[in-house]
Amino acid sequence: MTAGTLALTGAIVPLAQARGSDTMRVGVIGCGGRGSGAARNCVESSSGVEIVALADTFEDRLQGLKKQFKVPNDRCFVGLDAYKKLLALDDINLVILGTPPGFRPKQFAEAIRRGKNVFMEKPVATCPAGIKMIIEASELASQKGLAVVAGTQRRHQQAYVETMKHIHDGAIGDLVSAQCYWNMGALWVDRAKTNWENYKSGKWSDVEWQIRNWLFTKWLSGDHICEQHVHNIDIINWAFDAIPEQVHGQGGRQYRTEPQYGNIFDHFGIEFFYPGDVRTISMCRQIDGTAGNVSERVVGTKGSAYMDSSGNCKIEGENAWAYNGPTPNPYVVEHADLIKSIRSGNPLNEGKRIAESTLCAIMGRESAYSRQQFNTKWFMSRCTLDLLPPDDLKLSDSKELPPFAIPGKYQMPGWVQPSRGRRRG
Amino acid sequence: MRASEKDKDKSKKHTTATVGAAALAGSVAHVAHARGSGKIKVGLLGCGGRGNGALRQNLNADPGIEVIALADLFENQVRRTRERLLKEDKYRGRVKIDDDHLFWGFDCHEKIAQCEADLLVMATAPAFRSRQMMAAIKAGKHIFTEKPVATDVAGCRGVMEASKLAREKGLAIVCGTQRRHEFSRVELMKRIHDGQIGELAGGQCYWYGGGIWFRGYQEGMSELEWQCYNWYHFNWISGDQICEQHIHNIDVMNWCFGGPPVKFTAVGGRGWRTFNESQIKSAKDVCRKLNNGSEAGWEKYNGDIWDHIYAEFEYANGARCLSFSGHSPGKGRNGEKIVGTKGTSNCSSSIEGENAWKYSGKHVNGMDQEHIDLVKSIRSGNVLNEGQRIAESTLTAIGARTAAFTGRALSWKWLLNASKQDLVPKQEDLGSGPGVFHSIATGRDALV
Repeated sequence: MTAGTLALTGAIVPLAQARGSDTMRVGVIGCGGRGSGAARNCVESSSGVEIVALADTFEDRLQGLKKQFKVPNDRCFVGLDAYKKLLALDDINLVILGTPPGFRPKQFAEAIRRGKNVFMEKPVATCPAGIKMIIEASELASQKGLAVVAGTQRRHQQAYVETMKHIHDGAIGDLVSAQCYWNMGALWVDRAKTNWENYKSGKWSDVEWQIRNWLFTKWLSGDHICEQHVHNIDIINWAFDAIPEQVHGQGGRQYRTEPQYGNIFDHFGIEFFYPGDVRTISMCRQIDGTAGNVSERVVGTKGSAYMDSSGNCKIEGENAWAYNGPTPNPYVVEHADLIKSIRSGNPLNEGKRIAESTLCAIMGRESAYSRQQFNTKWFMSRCTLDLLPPDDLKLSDSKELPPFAIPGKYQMPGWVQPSRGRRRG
Repeated sequence: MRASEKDKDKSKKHTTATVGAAALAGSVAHVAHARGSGKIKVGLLGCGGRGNGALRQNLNADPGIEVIALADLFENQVRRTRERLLKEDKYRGRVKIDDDHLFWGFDCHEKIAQCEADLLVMATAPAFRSRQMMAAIKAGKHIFTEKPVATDVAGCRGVMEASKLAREKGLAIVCGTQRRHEFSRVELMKRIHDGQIGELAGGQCYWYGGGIWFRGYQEGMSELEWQCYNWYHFNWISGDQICEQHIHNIDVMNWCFGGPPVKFTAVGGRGWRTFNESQIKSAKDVCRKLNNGSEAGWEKYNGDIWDHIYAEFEYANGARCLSFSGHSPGKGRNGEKIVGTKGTSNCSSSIEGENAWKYSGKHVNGMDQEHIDLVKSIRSGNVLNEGQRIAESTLTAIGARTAAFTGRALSWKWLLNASKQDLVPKQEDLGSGPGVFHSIATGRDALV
């Protein structure tokens, strides 16, 4: 235990307060739909949890939580630097990070620097520069004895946990193949339209529009493969207990083409290459009226495992089995696990793991944008893509939204086209 | 047993029985000629690059083959092909094409089917293949056909019927999915089907490349003729890249599994082609030439095919395989991999795993060998019939394309039995008039 050294830095004080049955004093950064949901889940999860401070870019977004938890005015912070003000409060020992993912790396690093335990929503970055920042801060969290849990709630869903135990115990043998999907219809249709009207009418600046419309803004959401499909990719990483070595993908913007949908795609198909040249399918789509499928499947030499978030998790083959245990709400369990780990003095730290799963989604996206195949090592060492917001970003700023990617035109930062002859079939 | 083996087996059984019946019908006269060691008269339908290549590969397969007829949509293609053939020493004395055996126009396949050829080599744009094959089989011709054999579901059904009729008549159908005729792959597949890599658990197939020609307007062409000349870029004529090109790899996956998939899911789209500046320039130029100098409405001349499709095939045993195809700048890939519970294979020449193996026999060029196998089968009387199999592989590609265009998950059963997809205009509607243009698929088109 490193408490001795950490005590010297002074950062351990709030942590010490959290031990035992002490009250969890929670600050929420990002009070939109998910941030608010996470805050309520957190309160529900354990006794002795209080929401004591709020931060959001927009005043209108934090009203719901403010009212519900009677947070006084002087502990509600608004603006792009609101998170810094909240994190400067000494009496907070846990923060929930629920802002758009593009903001996460800097906010997470600041939270760890300030000695806070962290619950952060997925994904945790939209670019490799952000991934590096998350990994570094996670290492610092370990050194400081701080807990980090990420909102990939399947990791805390009992049906998944049990299925993974079976897989890791060899129930389906060696893994030879896998598939994961997030195929769904449209979302935020009305919101995107209203946002666009506010932007086009001049009511909102570029930056305000992009943040309010963050789901469709690449630097903020990381595109839907990153924002949403990361859940499923994370499961495949979990099953393999590894991340892919290589990636090749495709994707595009075929149906959702109007300008209110920013610069993201509406479909991706990615091939991930896990160690031992095990190749997997990753497919995601957000097109209204199309076939839905949100699930994962892992195939081994002795059988296969199927999983989806309804808790329908089973193994077929030599060791057939199906989960039929209790199904507590994983969005609550993840907070219970987090708080239990803080109170017990054995803090969970999921930082590196969620950074890696986010990285896979980002690599898939960049491969689809550029249609290039590359390996993870290359991406982490050579890809210079940096979408992190500048520290002096203002809500009123002009910031042109880059066009959506067109293969052949999209330049992946750091990519050098290898010189070789054209292949024929 | 694999579909193709079944076909072969059935045709063996049928041969003797059908000769009698067919003789009564009179259509067997040419077939009889082809048997044994006599001359085989061949006609070429589709005098483009692939047709000219396939014809020469056919001629190379057997010294007893003579070319006696040529057909194409365009007169100049037919004449140029004859001129060039006559100049080649290699085929001296084997090119016997009279003026009245040169056919052109949208009905050229009907004309060439009525000549005295024993065998037709088919290499026109895929849209017309289904009706061409039926006309040829009805007229008693053996067939070598390039892949794919259709661009829509109706066309695939037509080929299945033609294939059935060919079996009844004892006629051969060999298709230009040449991987099926490569010795190394044939040996490998025996092992895969023997269980050397265990039960099949997954697989991948790829054809991702840099693009394809875009043909400009030639003087004297009608709009429809230009469209057929620039056929690759129109879904109803080429079937899109997944059907026209990637079918090779899809066919290998079907070969591994012994039949087509039971279910399709796919995503895809058209990014690069819509923004490809050189292609846009050509499309605008075509538009000006066909519309008295106006560029208005040029977009339709830019084609409607997509540039990427990412499909999942679920096979009968539950295995899910990836099909990864498209055209754009970026990483090119072409090949397959099959994964079993005891090992894996590159689908070409080796196995890795418990029963590791590497092919060490003779390597042949499948594009030559497919003609050798065809002609041998005709001469022996045990004709090969790959018709049903290539119709299934074509329909597999069409199933994936349809799943991508509509965003729907499809079953093979529905596709084969219930789909009303019928993209190719009726024969009587094909003339020297306007083209047939469809809008670009959205990814949530209506499922037909």
